[in-house]
Amino acid sequence: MTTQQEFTDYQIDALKELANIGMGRAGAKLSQVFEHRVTLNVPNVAMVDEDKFNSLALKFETGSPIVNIIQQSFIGEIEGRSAFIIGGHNFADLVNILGYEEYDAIDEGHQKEMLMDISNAVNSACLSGLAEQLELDIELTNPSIAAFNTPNSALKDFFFKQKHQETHQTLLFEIKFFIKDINLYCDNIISLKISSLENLRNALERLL
Amino acid sequence: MVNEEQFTEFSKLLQELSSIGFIILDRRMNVIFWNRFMELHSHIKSEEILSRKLTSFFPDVNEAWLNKKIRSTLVLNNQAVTSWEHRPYLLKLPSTQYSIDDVDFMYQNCSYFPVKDSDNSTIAVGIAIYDVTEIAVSQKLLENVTEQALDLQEISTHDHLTGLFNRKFFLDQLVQDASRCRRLNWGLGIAMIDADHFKSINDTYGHQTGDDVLKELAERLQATLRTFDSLCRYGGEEFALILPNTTEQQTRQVCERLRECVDKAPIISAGREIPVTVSIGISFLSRNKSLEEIISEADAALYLAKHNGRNRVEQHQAE
Repeated sequence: MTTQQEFTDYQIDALKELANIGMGRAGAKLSQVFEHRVTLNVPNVAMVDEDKFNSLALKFETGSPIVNIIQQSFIGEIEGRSAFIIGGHNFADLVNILGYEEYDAIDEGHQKEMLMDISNAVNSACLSGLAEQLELDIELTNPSIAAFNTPNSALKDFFFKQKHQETHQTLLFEIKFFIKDINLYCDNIISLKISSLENLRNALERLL
Repeated sequence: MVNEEQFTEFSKLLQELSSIGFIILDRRMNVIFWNRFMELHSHIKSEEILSRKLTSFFPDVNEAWLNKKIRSTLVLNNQAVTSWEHRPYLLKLPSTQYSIDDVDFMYQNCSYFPVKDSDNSTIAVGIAIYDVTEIAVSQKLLENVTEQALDLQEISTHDHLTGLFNRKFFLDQLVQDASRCRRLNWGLGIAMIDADHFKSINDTYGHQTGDDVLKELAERLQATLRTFDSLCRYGGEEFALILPNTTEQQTRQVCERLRECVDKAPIISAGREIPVTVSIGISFLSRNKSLEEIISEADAALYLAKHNGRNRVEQHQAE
């Protein structure tokens, strides 16, 4: 039995819906923290393989030729990792929403700290949103920077490297993070460990 | 079940903890917990700071930033960390590492986490402060040593693969040789030497063989030269040669010998015979030409040698 068959279309739709409800709550909380209206949505939940990963890697939100990727793992009843992708031109906006000083925007140490801050905040909100909906216990581990001010061609390499997990397939949540009034557009890609798919399916079955 | 009495015991334990700093702040940044580590390192007693605003004791804390951090922890109910690598310290405390004389503050890793009441709602933010001065200092030391090693590489004069002088040496040496030859009214020739079809050698036999070919080439060329001629690896499969105290005619003869010593026998690598030839472009020092011009003339002559069929020596022709 391949992992592809473990989720029916109906289950995937349900996951997408639950994720979107979770993101609604996450967005409300983040709006409070960032003091700007935050929009989070989940256009895509899918089992993906190499080809799909590649096609995804081509349509990320950040229009920036320079990108940053922050990686964070989560552990608990379902496990996996997230990759938060933000353009290299966004530090001035981050200064504003994270409470930094203007001159921090050009300091490398503070830039890195801001990247970890925003990834940690967005992922906490997203994962607790998901965990609440699925009634699962998940804990986020500390963020680390996987790519710092790197040409956006690195995105592809990055996702290529991710695949060498147990199998070439994984369940992936594609999350879009927007703050429209300051023109901040980011992607957050959450991928689950294959070993967690069963727990997720059980959680879904309990709920449906 | 833990009863209230026991909890008081736990909090006393944290209070007594002297290896990790432990603070609790309410939503207005007032200190509601300050443990022994904090007392020892800040020289501020619990009774002095409790119920007072943290920033009134530590004015160099960025208040807007810390406020966001607290708010974010309260709203999102999440843990967060700061690392000494990005933010050397949260609260400026003196270093206690007497062995380290140029560090006068404590490097800190901090973690921030929600503190909940009995109804499980978040009411305050806990901050754990770890003294990582020792780690930070050794890391910085390591970085310095690495940087010095890179600097050394910068001032090195030899190419690692062939053992010949490198490009940087060539440019420095040319300045010296040219000024000496001009002063003594000697001639000086330079040559650019390039292995023909080197890319296809690499593609056909692999890079290991490509490297063997470069090493053997370097040896053959070097063996043909005088001790005060400088043969350098200019880049990739290109070599540059300075021939001080040499006339135009002698330069042509030397270069012809170089071409022959490569052409006369194939290079052996991993038991295979690999036929290799070189093309050579030469130019000469003259009173009214800059060194840059002489180098680009040799380059142009090399191009001509390639263009005219390779395995040849060509000389820059004055127009």
